[in-house]
Amino acid sequence: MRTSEQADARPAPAQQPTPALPAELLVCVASDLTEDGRAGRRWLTVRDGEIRVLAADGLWGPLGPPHGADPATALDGTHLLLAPPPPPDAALVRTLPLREVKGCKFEPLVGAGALVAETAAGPVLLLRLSSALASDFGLAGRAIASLGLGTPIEIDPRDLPRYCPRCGRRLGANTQVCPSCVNRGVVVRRILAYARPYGPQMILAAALMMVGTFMDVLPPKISQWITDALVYGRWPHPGMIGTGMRGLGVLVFLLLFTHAVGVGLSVWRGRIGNWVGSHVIGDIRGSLWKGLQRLSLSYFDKAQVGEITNRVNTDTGRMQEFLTDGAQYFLGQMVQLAFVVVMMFFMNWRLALVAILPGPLMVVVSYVCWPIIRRYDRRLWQMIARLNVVVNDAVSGMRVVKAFGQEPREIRRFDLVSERLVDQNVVTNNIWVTVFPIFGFVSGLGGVIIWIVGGGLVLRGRLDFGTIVAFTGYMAMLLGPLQWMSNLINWMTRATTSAERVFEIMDTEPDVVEPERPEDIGRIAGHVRVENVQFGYAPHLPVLRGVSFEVQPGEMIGLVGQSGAGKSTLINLLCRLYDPDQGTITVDGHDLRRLRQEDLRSQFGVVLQDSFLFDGTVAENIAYARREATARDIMRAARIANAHEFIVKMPDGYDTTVGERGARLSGGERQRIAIARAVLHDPRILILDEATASVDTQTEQQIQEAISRLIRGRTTFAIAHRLSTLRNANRLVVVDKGRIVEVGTHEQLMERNGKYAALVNAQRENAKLAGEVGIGA
Amino acid sequence: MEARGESAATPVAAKGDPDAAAAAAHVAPADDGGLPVLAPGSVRLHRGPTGVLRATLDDGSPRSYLQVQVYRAFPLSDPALWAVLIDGQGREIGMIEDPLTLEEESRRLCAEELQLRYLTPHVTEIVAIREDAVEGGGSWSPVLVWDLATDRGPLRMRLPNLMDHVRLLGPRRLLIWDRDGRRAEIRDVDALPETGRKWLRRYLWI
Repeated sequence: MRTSEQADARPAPAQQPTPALPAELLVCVASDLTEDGRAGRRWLTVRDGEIRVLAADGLWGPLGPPHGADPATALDGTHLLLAPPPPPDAALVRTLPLREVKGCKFEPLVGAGALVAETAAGPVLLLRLSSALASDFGLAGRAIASLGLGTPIEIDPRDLPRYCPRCGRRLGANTQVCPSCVNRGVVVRRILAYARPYGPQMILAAALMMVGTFMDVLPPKISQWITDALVYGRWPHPGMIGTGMRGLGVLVFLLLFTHAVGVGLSVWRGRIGNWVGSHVIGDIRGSLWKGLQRLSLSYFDKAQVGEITNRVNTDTGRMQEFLTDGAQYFLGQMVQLAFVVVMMFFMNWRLALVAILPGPLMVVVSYVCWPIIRRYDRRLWQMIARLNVVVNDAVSGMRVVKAFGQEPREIRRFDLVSERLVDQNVVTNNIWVTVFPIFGFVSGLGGVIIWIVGGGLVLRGRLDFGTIVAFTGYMAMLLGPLQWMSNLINWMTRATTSAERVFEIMDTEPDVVEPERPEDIGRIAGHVRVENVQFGYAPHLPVLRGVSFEVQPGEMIGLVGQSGAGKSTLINLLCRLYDPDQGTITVDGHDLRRLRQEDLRSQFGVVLQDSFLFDGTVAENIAYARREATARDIMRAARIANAHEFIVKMPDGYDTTVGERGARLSGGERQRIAIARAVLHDPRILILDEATASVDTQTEQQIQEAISRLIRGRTTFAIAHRLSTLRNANRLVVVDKGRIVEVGTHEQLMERNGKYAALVNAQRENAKLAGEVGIGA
Repeated sequence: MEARGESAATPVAAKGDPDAAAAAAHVAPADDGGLPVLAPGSVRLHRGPTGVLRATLDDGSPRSYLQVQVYRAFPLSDPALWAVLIDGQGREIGMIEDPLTLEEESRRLCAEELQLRYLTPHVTEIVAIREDAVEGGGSWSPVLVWDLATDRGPLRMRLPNLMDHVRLLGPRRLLIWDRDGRRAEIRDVDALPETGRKWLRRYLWI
């Protein structure tokens, strides 16, 4: 997934249809900054063998789609069109012959960037842009560089910006959903689709709701009968119910009966609703998890662990809360509202008309007050979150606080936030204690109106007192739900927003896709060839450029270079966690993109620096990739990894739980368990990513020994900062700024006295300062 | 760096050991494809004069160890198999796949050592589980006081919470431990009397 920061940028409104693009316009992209960094519109076009920069007035941010909203029309091997063409009156700012261009790249700055062409005479600044347009100009840079070199433009169409076909708004790269055009109805229907398997239960719940609600609206009517009977002696159906004490007893019993049945039905309905809601959410959560598992690693790079966990837990939790509580309450209240209004009009339509007058007022008050309540609540949550950060920070870093004697400073920091929290708490709770009595007052207005109007009618003999009693009961049932109306709607909105976020993950397509007709690779020999690979996590910022090398089966290759040189990126590509933007990687002659990922991963083993152990026992972690492994297999692998002895001495041996809630293991112990995991996996190609960079020398020796056993007969790619790790390498590949600069054995590279020799000498100097023994010493 | 199992002969006797005459070279046993599995017939366990467990091995290269400790490789999931012998220097001597196949005296001593090392009483009844809000974090997070009857006598354990002090070892098998690391095992929840099961159901989803 390519991340774009333009998701929220509003496009300039497209007032007239985009004119047809002239065929000779090869590249067209628009910027939003002038040469001196002010807001302004600049176009960059390539036509007639020339790069032109043109100026016109315009708005900050990107323009609308270049040619309809279909990205397919914007890109082919010789064209890249990311903006509508410049207006005819645009002034020419600068030109540069295309033949002089040797390269072109986007240079990121802070909040901005620049497109720079490389020529024989030196770099030429073409134009400036805000960071909102970074990805567009990354693509433009690649296109111009290709055109300058006379090669086809190689850009993945998925990297092109996308626009909502309805409103023309630019879409974020991670989503196909336009936030303003999203159809909430579609989301609700999708949720209901998950409820389809539980149709019978839902029908039963609906039937119970209707009957139960009818029972709930009967008591005020029965109260009317009782009142009229006691005040006027008018008994309903005297032949059946009787009169006097008997009649009173029957009516009171009826009242009790309807209450009890209503409650019973409500409980029954609630249980069914709860059961259905929980199962629906369980199904959604399961689909979400499956969807997550098939996503490529790039998704997990862009989204943080917290955000993903939020979607899986919090968002599904909100949906569940709404499905089990909110939806039932909402529907129940709506049905009750309808019944109540019908009953009131049935009893006395004139009084009913007057009685429902406060209803709209209650809705208005609710719509005004709830947003205020929510705003203050959000501010309170932010203050609480802020305080949590201060506390977590200081407690986690207590060693540093104490070492630097900064306790008074931490106390001051805490007090400042705490005081603000106190103030915010007071203000927020004041809102609550003010607003609800207001709701109560508005509710009470209904009763006042009934007494005034109804009482007058009673005095004039045009209405029975019992009707007023009934109306008073119905008013409470009418106005109560209305005061929660807008909050309910907000609850529903939050739940559907959460649902969108959940469905978005399910709808996200993985970057690394399975081929339609995968090739069968069988058991890998381990011959790896990397040809002219270019790759960047963001399309406009390549991390690897023109990387090529070949590895024979069983060879151990050491990847050497400074931090950020591109070593880990290369490893990620070898494992096919990402696909290269250009070039190919083959294993035994098969392009990785034509292989089934499962076939590949089953023959790749990885040992990372920060060895992640799952929540489980040591044995389960070692056997992670081979569930059928026996105790012998597990212990054998642990012995090879020099882990068996320390494992056995732990209180629970191989049954010791590790991971988040388990035993704390040292870095060296974790690495050896990770090595054991790799041993048991028995891969044909092994990746070691800085496996020994963070342990003491003695443990490192044990790990080195384990690794030397592990790599026997396997093609191995090892990355390490510590050059002593690479003693066993057949060849070393030196990576610098995304390119391979040297390849050879340790002796050959030292003789060459190039980049590798410089790294080794620097390492030796560091080692001498630290009093350690360096490579070759 | 020498690979494990190929080190030079090292006297086993610790400095100052009165029985230094019995010291022999440490020789790693033959590997079973990587695992030092000892043939049961080649191992003899016995106690020295001070009660310390010793071992004599004869699998082609006779040797003795003046101090031996016995561990279980899988103390929870497979306690009957895979006993590991460790010498006084903390190095592995070898493994016995099934300790029951040892000769009688060795078998008895092995079982004794393992019982002493893995002191985990088996719960025969849960007498009561009470909440102690005073000792805990208030009524929302009380300490749970478990009164248990075990095969080693009565036991009272204080568990700060159920999340970090109860482990499900199988569908009906539980391990519980308190703040001080004392443990107890419920081998089969269904084998407990009904009263005990009621207590469990109140607090655990089992």
